[in-house]
Amino acid sequence: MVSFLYPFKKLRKKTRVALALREDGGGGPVPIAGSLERSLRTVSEALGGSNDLVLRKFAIMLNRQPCQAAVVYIEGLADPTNLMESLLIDSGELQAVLAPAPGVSPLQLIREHILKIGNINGVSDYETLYHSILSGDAVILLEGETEAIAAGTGNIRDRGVTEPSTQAVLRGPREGFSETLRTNTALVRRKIKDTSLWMETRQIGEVTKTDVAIMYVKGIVDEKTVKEVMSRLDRIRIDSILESAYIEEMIEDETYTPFPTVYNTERPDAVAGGLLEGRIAILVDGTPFALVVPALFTHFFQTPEDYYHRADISTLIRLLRYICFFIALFGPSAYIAVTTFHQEMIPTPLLISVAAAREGIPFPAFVEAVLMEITFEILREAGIRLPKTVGQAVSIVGALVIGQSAVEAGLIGPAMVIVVSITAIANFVIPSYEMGISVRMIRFLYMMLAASFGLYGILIGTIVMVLHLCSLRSFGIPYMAPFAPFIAEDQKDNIFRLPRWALSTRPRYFSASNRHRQPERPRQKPGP
Amino acid sequence: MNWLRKGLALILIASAAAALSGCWNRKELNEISIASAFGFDKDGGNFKVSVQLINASEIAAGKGSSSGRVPVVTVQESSGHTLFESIRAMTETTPRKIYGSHLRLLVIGEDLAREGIARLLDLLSRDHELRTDFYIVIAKGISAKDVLQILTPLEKIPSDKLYSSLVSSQRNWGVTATVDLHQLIYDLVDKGKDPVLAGLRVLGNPELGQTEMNFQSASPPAKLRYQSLAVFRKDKLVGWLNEEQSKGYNYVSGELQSTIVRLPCPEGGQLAIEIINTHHRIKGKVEDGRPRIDVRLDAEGNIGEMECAMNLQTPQSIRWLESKLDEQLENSMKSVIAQAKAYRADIFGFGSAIHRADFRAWRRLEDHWEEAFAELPVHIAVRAKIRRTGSVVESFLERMGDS
Repeated sequence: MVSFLYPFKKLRKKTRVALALREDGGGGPVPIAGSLERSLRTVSEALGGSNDLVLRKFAIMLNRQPCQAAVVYIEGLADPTNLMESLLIDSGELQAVLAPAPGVSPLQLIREHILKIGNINGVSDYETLYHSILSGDAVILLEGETEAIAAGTGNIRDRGVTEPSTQAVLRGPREGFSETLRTNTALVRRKIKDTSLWMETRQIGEVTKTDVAIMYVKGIVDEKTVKEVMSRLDRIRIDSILESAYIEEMIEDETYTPFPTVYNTERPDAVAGGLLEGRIAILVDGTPFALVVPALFTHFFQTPEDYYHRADISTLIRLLRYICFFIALFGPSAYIAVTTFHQEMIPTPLLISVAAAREGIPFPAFVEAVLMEITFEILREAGIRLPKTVGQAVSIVGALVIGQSAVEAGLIGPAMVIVVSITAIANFVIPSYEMGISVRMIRFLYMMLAASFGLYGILIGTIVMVLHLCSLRSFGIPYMAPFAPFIAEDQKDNIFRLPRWALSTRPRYFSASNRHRQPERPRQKPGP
Repeated sequence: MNWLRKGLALILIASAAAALSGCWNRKELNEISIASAFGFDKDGGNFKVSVQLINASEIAAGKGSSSGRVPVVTVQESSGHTLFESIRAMTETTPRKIYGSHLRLLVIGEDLAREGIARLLDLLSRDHELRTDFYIVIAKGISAKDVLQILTPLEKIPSDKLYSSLVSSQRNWGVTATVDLHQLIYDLVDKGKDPVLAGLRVLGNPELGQTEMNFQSASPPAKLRYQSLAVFRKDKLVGWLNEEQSKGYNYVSGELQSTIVRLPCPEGGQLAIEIINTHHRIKGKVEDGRPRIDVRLDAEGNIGEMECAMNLQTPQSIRWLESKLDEQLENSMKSVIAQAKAYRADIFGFGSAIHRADFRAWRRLEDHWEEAFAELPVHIAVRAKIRRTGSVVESFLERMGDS
């Protein structure tokens, strides 16, 4: 492992050096100068004279003395209307309100008597000042003061709480996360109104300084996992975090695996559900996708909706998803193996039909399958980025050209079209896009194995895959739990989804200390 | 390093996995010809092998097009000193390799069967490609090749028709026998049992049966029909059973699932009883060094048809019918046992029953079992029950007689 990653390690060291250069020569925080002019000049220079920086100078009567002051903010990030209103009230009015109060500094006066804004912080060095204004605060500087006031006026344009587009549900809340961290944490808090919902924040990204919130339910979560998550987050040295995927890649247990070990979701209810199981959510400013860790194999086959429908149908649908997982994984490869190696395994009438369909096809089954699969991937990739109106054209062309003309022209057998289509559709049944990608990639491997070794190759490939899956861990928890290691108790909410009253305990691996969701007795099974 | 060792192990495992895989013959579907039936005939001292190949593209083309039916099979033949040779020599005439896994039927010509079939079977059981679930039949009075060439009106693939009509006649009529390769070899090896195979005949004109006339006319000029059973002594065909005896064979061997038994009415006319369930037991005994066999048959039947006026409402009449049925079944069984004794072929496995009962006595008997079988006393006990009379009790014929 060590030797293998050596070149990357070296690279990382270099980056760190480069990042360090950006910081001021190591002299520590620079205090704000007493002179207003100088302070403003420093700020303006630091931002390279960007013209969205607003430096609004004004005079204010404090203790019957005019005092030079300035408000500094970034236009667009901050909305200082309220702030200005409270600062620039009529001087006469102010004097009527405020009798001269000796011993009260102008700063204190503004802070305690004038500002009608909740979130106020003192700022005494430039670094903090920059960060404040760049996060949307308006900073008030006073002549002769070495401290400034940062008022929370952040007003970043928000898309609003809309329906999540990646995880739509038939039944269930229709709210989804948006790009603002505060909105997102509020959405989660609204689901869990308890003091035990704790949140820690970090700023990650040397340049982007992105806010990252780590949420968990104290008392349910395993403290060791929290510590592990925090230490992994603290270890991140990177210039930018533009999406939660950056963090995902930096904290996941194993990079060289096709399987996702971090769950992401756009849905507050999915996050809340995870938190209540004793998992940890990582919310990142600027993206609607929150991460939930630890994430196990089985989580990628569950949706929040499973808990909103009746238990029986949820169980059956989960079963269907696993079946689809196997179809998507083995569909084309099984077809290749059976038709080129094991013709004796097909019932005679079926073999005759398949053979009849294969008559006159110029390619071997493997080439045929790869052609079709690649065509499908092209269509999918083309369809994703196109506007909706053009996207329909792609599907028409795809259906007509691939589905019909290729068969009629005798290039592709109709049986292969069926196999590829059912594979593609089965792939869409897997609720998690990440898991779907894994399946798509591995499918090609299996096709190659099937083309060269038949079912034997598929079997070997499966063994290797299962071994790999069993070796994976997500934040120290075996990835295949509760299948392997098998936890009989946790089967209640694995492939099966038992009725709510039977889900009385939390998954064993996540919540070591507080396992009971419901009081043990009396059993809450509804009486007759 | 650890990684190096891991990598080496991985490469080793991968190469071992590649080298240790068993079958290594990738063959595309359009590189093989699916054989649906084999036919073996005698050709002087050599074998003549004919094979019915499925023409898959014709099956596909037939769908939807109204251009009329074309034969979807083709029959190829070749000969050689050994079977394997002759089958491989067939590549001289066919463009593709013949693929035998989906064989439905093996037809053996009567001439060849009289000489012995054992030597044919080794290839079939040895070759990994063949499954053992195809049925073996004997072409009666015609060569196997001619049988394979007959086209059939209902099923596109003639051997499909032969396969399914063999299964359904065995199941519903009980005068044929479904014997697959496994069973046949079992019977050949077992000294206490001789094999029986279904006989297949061509009715009508075999020449015309090979042309499309056979599926263009409503009543095809040539028909394939299973008729009677071929009796073997060891591996040689020694004779045939008639229909009644064939049924009797199935009663004794317990192969029968359902059949129709015809009985005379008390006052003229006939009635037909459908046997729905039989249960048999063959028990061997050796008493004072002399073997004997008890055959017991429990049968259940329904009244299927009556062409006479008869009162069925009394238990006496049913009991009378049951006794008649007993008699009839017993006669069939007696007849077939007598015939088998005449052929000196122990097709029922009585020898095995003796073997199971007393293996010491069997050891003494097995060398001259043929003679012993011919004099073997066989006691038959039949108990038939009539369960239902169909959806009417009395025949309307009775009322017609009243008026």
